[in-house]
Amino acid sequence: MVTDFLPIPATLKRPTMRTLLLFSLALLLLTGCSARTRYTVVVDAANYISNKSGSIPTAATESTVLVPDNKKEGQPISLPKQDVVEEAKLNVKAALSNTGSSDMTGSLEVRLSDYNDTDLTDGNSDFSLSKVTIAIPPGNSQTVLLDAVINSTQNANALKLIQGGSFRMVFILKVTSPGGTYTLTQARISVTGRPFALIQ
Amino acid sequence: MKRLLLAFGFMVFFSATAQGVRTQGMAGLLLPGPAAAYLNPAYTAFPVGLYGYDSGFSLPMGLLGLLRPEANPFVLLTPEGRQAIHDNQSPFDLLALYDQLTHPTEFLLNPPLSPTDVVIDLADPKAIKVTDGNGNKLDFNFSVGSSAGISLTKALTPSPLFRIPFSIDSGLSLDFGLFAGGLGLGANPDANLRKLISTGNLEANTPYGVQAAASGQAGISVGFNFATELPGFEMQDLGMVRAFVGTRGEAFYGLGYLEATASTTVTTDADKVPDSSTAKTTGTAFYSYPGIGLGYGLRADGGVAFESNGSTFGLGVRNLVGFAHWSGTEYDLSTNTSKSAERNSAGFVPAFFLNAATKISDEMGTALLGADVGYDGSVYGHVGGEYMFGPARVRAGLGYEGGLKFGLGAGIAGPGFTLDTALTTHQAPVVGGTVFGIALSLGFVF
Repeated sequence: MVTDFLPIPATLKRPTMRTLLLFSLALLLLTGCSARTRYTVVVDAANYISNKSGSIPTAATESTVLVPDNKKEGQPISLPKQDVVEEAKLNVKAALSNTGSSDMTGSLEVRLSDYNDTDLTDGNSDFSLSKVTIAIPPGNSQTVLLDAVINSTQNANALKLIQGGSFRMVFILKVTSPGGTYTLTQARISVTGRPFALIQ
Repeated sequence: MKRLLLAFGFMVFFSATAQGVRTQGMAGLLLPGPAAAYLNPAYTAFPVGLYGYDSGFSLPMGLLGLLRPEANPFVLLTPEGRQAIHDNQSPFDLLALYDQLTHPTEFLLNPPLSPTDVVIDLADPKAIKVTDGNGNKLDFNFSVGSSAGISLTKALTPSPLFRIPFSIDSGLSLDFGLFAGGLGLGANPDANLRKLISTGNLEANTPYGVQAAASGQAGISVGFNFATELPGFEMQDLGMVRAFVGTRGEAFYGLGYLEATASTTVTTDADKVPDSSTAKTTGTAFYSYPGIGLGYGLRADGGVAFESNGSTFGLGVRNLVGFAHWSGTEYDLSTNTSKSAERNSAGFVPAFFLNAATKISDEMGTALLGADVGYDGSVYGHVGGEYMFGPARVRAGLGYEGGLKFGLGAGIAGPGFTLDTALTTHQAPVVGGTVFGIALSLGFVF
């Protein structure tokens, strides 16, 4: 397999998710609190990724696009320790177009790993959270949906990572392509928890 | 610090007890008479009972509210209780507890409850949406108590919980009182953040901040009053007018003082994006109580009142001149350090109180109608009335104290006793909406 890394800017756009979380924390302080009160914070990671769109090169063999920044170490995410997190949801939308003359086939996958992992593609401590296959006829466009639910019964290992506060995430687009484009239009992450548990 | 919290809790619990149930039934309206002497010293010489009077002890109905599972603080006393309140099915709610504690004379009929779901949507980097679980916009009222609990002049102590008067002679009198109040507890977004919450859109190069403030004070006071009735005079259309003047000097010794502020701000850049490098939190907490500091002060008040044929008009001015000194400890949130500090004020920073009332009788009974307006850092006012027929009393009123409030009340004046009740209202902290309460007082007439 030949892996083509696309030329992608290395920096992420501001604002950082951490900054916006400051706002959400301020709002948390301003709202009432009981054990039953659930807070959900929703962010769209697509807003913070620099290479969320680009071209897919013509290749007889499979090409791989890593988002963000085409780096195997993915995006490091560092949050305050989130013991209170009960559930998280991931809703990804990617628009793909096949500008070639034959089928575009492959997959879109999101992988997670612990904060110290330097390669989220080797299967060593990293794991697949969700994966969807792609098959687009020539001249066609398609919106690919990738969803994942993370809680104590589904993807419990991912929940443990998020509760730990520091982890890495990467989107991997692998396609055998006659040429085309991709756009990550949405990477909506919602995290739900009960901050009342912080009061001891 | 534990003593400080206990002192603050004491002030919170007793901050509302100074207001009589009769007054609560008229939404806070204070009719002319000796009950208003604290705000207008001329009323010390005013005829007792011309417009009735607040009599009786306000029963601490809030204690009943604290037995309710939503607001029961006693569960916090045991490890098992503290564990139990973290069960998702637990009815315990900090918001309900806070609201009941700050209204100790009222049994709250519908204490405010924290929302079940709060969704903070940051998906659009230049907007923030706060909704409930069903996508409906949550319209939070972030004010919690008064954000300016302590008057600008620290010599202007809160209304006393009780006063023990001693008449000397010739219009002279002394009184001893205990005050605890000046309560302020606020967690308020600044104007920019309020606008953001309302519109959801960030502006360029704009600071967004949240300011939190807490305040309270307690102490004992000694008042020296002189009030007298001046010779009456005739006025066309009014007839004979009686005139009263009064002055009052008050000294206080402080038992506790707290004044704390904290603010967090983040500023957006030219692209309307919050810049985390600008985020900062600052603030101080100044506190004093005997042992670590000292508080004392002195001030002078004055007032006049005129009465004619059952109608009265009065004007009182507190703190015509005064000074106050508090020494204590100041804690700096930014540096996590403490140092000795002082709070001083002196000069002419007056607080005004103007009220009027009239009495109308018919075959059935007597109606009292009144209004008051005052300024003490902010403007407040009330209108209301009471109808007396036989031993029965019914009351109603409308007031403005930073927000609209209304009151309904009723009472019975029997042989040797009075029993008064009031339906009270106030704005729920944090979540907004009207909270209703029941207040009750029992008095014995000797």
